[in-house]
Amino acid sequence: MDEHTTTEQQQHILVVDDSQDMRELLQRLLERAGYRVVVAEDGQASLTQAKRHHPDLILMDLSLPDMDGWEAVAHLRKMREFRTIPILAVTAHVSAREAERAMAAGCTAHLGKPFDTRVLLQEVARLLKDGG
Amino acid sequence: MNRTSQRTQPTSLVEQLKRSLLIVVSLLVCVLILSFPVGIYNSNIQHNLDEQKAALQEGQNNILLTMVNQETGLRGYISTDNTVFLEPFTSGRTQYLLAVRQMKDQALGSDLSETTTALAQVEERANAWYSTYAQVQLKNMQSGKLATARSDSNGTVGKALFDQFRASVAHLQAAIGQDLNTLQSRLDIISRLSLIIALVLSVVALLLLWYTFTRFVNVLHEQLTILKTRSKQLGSGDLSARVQELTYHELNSLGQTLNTMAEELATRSRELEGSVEELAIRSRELEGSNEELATRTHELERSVEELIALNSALEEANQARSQFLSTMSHELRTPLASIIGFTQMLLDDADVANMNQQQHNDLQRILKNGQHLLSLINDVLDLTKIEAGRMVVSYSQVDMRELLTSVVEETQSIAIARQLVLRAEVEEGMDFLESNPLKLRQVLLNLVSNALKFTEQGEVTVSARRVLSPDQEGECVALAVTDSGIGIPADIQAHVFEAFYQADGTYTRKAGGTGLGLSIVSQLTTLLGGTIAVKSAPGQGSTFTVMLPIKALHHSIEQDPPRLHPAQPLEATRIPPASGDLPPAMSDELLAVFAHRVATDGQNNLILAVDDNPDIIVLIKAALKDTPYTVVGLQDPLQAMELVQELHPCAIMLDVMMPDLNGWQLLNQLKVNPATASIPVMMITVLTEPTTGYVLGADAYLIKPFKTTVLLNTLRNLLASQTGPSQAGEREAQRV
Repeated sequence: MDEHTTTEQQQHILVVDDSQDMRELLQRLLERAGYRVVVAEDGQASLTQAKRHHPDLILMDLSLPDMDGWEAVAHLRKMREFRTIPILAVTAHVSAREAERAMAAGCTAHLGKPFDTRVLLQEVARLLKDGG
Repeated sequence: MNRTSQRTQPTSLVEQLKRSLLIVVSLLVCVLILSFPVGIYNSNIQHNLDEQKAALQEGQNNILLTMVNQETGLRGYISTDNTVFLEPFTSGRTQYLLAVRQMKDQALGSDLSETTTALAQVEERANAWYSTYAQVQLKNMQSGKLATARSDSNGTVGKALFDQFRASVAHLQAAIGQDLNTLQSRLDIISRLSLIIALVLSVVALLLLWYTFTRFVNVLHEQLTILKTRSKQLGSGDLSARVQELTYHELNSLGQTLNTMAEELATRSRELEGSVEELAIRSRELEGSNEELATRTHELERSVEELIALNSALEEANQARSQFLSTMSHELRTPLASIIGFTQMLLDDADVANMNQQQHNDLQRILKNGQHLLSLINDVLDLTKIEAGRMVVSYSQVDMRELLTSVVEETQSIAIARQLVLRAEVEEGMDFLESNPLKLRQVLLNLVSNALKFTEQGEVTVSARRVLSPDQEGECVALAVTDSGIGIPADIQAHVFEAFYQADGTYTRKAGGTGLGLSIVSQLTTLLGGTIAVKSAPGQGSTFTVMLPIKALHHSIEQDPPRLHPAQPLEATRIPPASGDLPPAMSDELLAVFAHRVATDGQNNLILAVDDNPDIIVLIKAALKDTPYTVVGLQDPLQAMELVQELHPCAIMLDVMMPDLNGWQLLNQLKVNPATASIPVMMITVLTEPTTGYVLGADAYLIKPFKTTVLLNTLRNLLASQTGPSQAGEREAQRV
């Protein structure tokens, strides 16, 4: 990780997913692309992590234990500091209806699982550029 | 029935009357004709009589005068002996003879017996005077016996004879009077007689007239009474009543008509009796049928109940299936995401990881298979979704040129990789089609990539052109994808649209298809209201042609929801995302989320109802009372635009026939304004012109009077389809 560090410009990304595999995959993908990554495994933790780290982007799985992604996003949106933060829903709920639901809950964009790693990185870059 | 021949043939009433009148009139004419000549004759006779009377009197006077002249002349001669005085005597004698002859003729011609007799006497006396006295005296004078002539004895004789003559003249006068009187009285009798005859004839004529009239009236009265009685009898239901032969044939024919009528009535009555009996039988039969019907109805009711139960069971099964599919999709994708993700990362990392070629190939194999599995999952889910009637299609203008170009662009990479030529051909003048762009694109993409997969060399062409529809009644758009590939044998062509069916199983692996592509194409085509056909021969390539109707407007509104899949409960529209993916316990939290969305997006559950009739607004409010929606009623359509922009309701209900601004105009204003165009509009009107409504952009159409349940269902469907594919559609492409 250190070899990629350009501390001032590094952008923080919060990855929220209940799957250990997915958290690790996303973390490694993003870190290799030069981002700083923090993770959370459920909705409640995502709120804590977000408050602690003030990330520039949140990748949010939606089906989560305890507090799910929709609720977490709704909570985040209620807080002033997270009102404009880009949130990318990364979810296995892929239908158009689901995508809309995610947007309705407050997500900025929607990406279905499984994803093409290149598409994911493109989307992340785009959101950080436009939405940050 | 017994037409009596012994009776005299009935005479005609009119004929008889005519005859009587003719007799009377002839009699009167006769009287008139007779009285004329009789009158003339009488007056002629009277006139003759008067003339005769005058002539006779003149004759008598002449006789007397000429005799007086003779006597005077004779006396003068005797006293003077002067012959001068003889001249009156002789002329008097001549005139006397003439007068006597004239008078005799007249008396004889007129048959005057008394006068003739009296005249004879006068003549006799005159002759006596003349011969006995006058001629003796003349002889005396001529022989100079003056004294003898002038003697008193002779004078006395002469005087006595002359007095006798005078007396006979007086007698003649009386006789004339008598005769004339006789003639006059005869004439009077004739006149009186003719008058009496005329009178008698007139009276006879009048009596005849009276008699005829009285008889006619009596007979008429009598026969009319008969007719009246029979009519009454008929009227009171005695159908055997008949009218006997009547004297006058006019009345008789009336009677016969009455008889015919009675006959007919009797027949009808008998027929009716028959019908009534038949009806009674039918009625009994019907009662039987009714019982049977009741049994059947009961059975039907039971069947309906069973069907309802079955339907709800099916509904539940359908829901369960949807939920299962949704869950399965999620659960399959989650591990697949890791497989594909990690493999891709490893492959991207290949240089760093320092793996050999074999390991690299193996990783690529894992990735390829993972991706194939993913497309299988996608296709299977698509197919089940279409088959379950879950897929809702909304229509819009599709630019065909743009669509075909983009399909070619997207698949061009495969064509280049396989060294194939890929072209698009769009006929001039058919740039737009009313359809669903995403579904149509999916159809074309599947067909083109299919064609590219199964073609080893040559070219693939995708074309769009107008053709006559198969039923020859309109025009269609034909979208054809032609390849120069291996072709499909005839016996297999029928099966190509079935799921998991491929012409040659070996190709599946080689080409990397799922075996579901054509099946999805076929289903989607049907969903878009079109048909698909294939034309091919082994070794000669294949052509897949999709025929779409030019007008396929509002397909989704009429078709959705499918029969065995009743609309979701209203709560489902309140929480637009289907809660199927979530444990039920979470729906409350979902509500909160949604409430947040409502707050942030400024959307609400307001429904604006515009109708100039306040009763309808009350009705709509009552219908939606137990739903989460709040109805805002508006009677003035002119304020509608402003209010819509202010409230931004989730749906608008519009009447059509309103003063100032009608519903069509308002609908048009709403749909051309970008700020309000997306709000679903439901027309609620008595007009049955849904096509007009849909063309102007209405999203639903309801005809008054409406049932509350229909209103609710329509609203529910409207809002369900709005939250469904409308905005979501654009993002669907990202999924693959």
